[in-house]
Amino acid sequence: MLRWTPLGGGPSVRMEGVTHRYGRTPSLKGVDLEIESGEFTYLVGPSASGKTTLLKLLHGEERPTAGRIWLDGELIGRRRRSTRRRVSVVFQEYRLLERRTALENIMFALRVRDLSLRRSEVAGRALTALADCGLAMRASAYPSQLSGGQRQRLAIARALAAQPLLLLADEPTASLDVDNARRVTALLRKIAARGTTVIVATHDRDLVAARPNRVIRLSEGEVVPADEPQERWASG
Amino acid sequence: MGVRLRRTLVLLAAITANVVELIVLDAVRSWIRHRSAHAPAVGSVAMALFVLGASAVGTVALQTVAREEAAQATLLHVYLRDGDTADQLADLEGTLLRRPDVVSVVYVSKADALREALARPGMADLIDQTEGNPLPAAYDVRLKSLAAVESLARELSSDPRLAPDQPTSYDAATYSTLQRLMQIVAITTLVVISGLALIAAGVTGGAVRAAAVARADEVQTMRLVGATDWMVRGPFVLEGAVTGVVGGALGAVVLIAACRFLQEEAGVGLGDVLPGLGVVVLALLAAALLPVGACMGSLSAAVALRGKHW
Repeated sequence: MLRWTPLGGGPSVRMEGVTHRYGRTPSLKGVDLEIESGEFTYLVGPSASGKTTLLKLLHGEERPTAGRIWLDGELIGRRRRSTRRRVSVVFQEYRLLERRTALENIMFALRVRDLSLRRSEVAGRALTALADCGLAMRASAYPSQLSGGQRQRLAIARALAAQPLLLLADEPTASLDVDNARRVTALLRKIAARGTTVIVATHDRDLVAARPNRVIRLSEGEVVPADEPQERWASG
Repeated sequence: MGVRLRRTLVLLAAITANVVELIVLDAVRSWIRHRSAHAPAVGSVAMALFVLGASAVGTVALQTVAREEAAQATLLHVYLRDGDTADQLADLEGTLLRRPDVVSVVYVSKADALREALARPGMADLIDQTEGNPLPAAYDVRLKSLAAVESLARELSSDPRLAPDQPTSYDAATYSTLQRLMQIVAITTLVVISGLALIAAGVTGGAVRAAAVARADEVQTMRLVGATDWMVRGPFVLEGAVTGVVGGALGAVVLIAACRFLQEEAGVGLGDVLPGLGVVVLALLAAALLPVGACMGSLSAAVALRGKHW
């Protein structure tokens, strides 16, 4: 496996000249970027700017048409399954299994990821993740019995329990009210503070502006340099 | 070494437990949840497997009869002309015994032939109507195969030492009719079973595919949280297997009931109604329908899901 050893530190993600096309339509054009371990980063841009594609590439759901991606110093190649095991995703629409309780949702995801985990270990990690996300008392509740904010926190707990190197969140607050959006964001920051790299794709300008964070702006598949005006990404 | 072995065993136990929980139990639970959707497939499989079981029962009975017939058919009666001398008979017996396809040669005198004939129902009246002993002396020649019977009968057809009207007991028409009949039965059974198996496979595959479509969101979520392709497909293939097993069990019950009905109607033992078929053989045949159903169901499901992407 080809390894890239960064100088003086440990970038979690490195993209080098990454291009991606859906058929003939380019979705990303020569993207170069680096994200440090434990960094909390917003990925912003209008619709169809390439945010979701970038997340899919990092999750291993899509392959770059050109360019290379390193995750924790390891080139993402054909072994996309091993990539998925190190990356967790939180979706706008939660993606929870309705027939399983909150605890079972997390346990199921953990066991599916790694069949060699013992039940006791799975249960321990699931309960810890629920407690970390403030849902310890709702372990036996089904997703339909939870509020929108709780459902999203459950989705984060599921992602967190897998102990990922990289946590990707695609519009995690889009379906939430302001209070719940703040709680979810605070939770994601807490996860980043513990050392997990967190990338949040969002349209929410208020959320981004609320606290100083690194912001990567995408427009028409390209990374917008930091010194360009914000209007270019926020127009959509 | 002991520690490594223990670790390996613990790892294997964990993997087994997870596979059973995530794939096997999930499939069974899902099947029970969607049992009404699987009902037509169960019915089709049961019907196909009942016909398969009935054909197997029929085959066992036919084979038993055929074996008995074949044993009888490899015995060729070589009828002797009245008035053959002892030298002629010794010469003929020597010729027969030298053939490599002959197993044994037994001389049956006219008196022995009459005694055997009188023992058969209805023959005594026929013999009484004739003067003296009308039956010829014979050599009962046991041959290794049916083909040898035909070959020897042809060779002896013009032998002057044999009865001129009917030198041997060989009847070509009867043999060919029997063989043709058995071929027709075998081909018809094969066609019917194949047709029913195809219908059952189609219905089972359709039910599994419908279940997969109904659970598309759930499956997509499984994929996104890291489930591999076989973990996603496994429960559906097992659902097909469960359909096959349930259908097989149903087919087996109907098969046993049908055999019992036949037996009670005939008022005799099972082996008398269906030669060669005892209780143990019937139980084994019925039990075999379950694994056959499982294979049929899982294969149908696997084929139905081939090329499906979530």
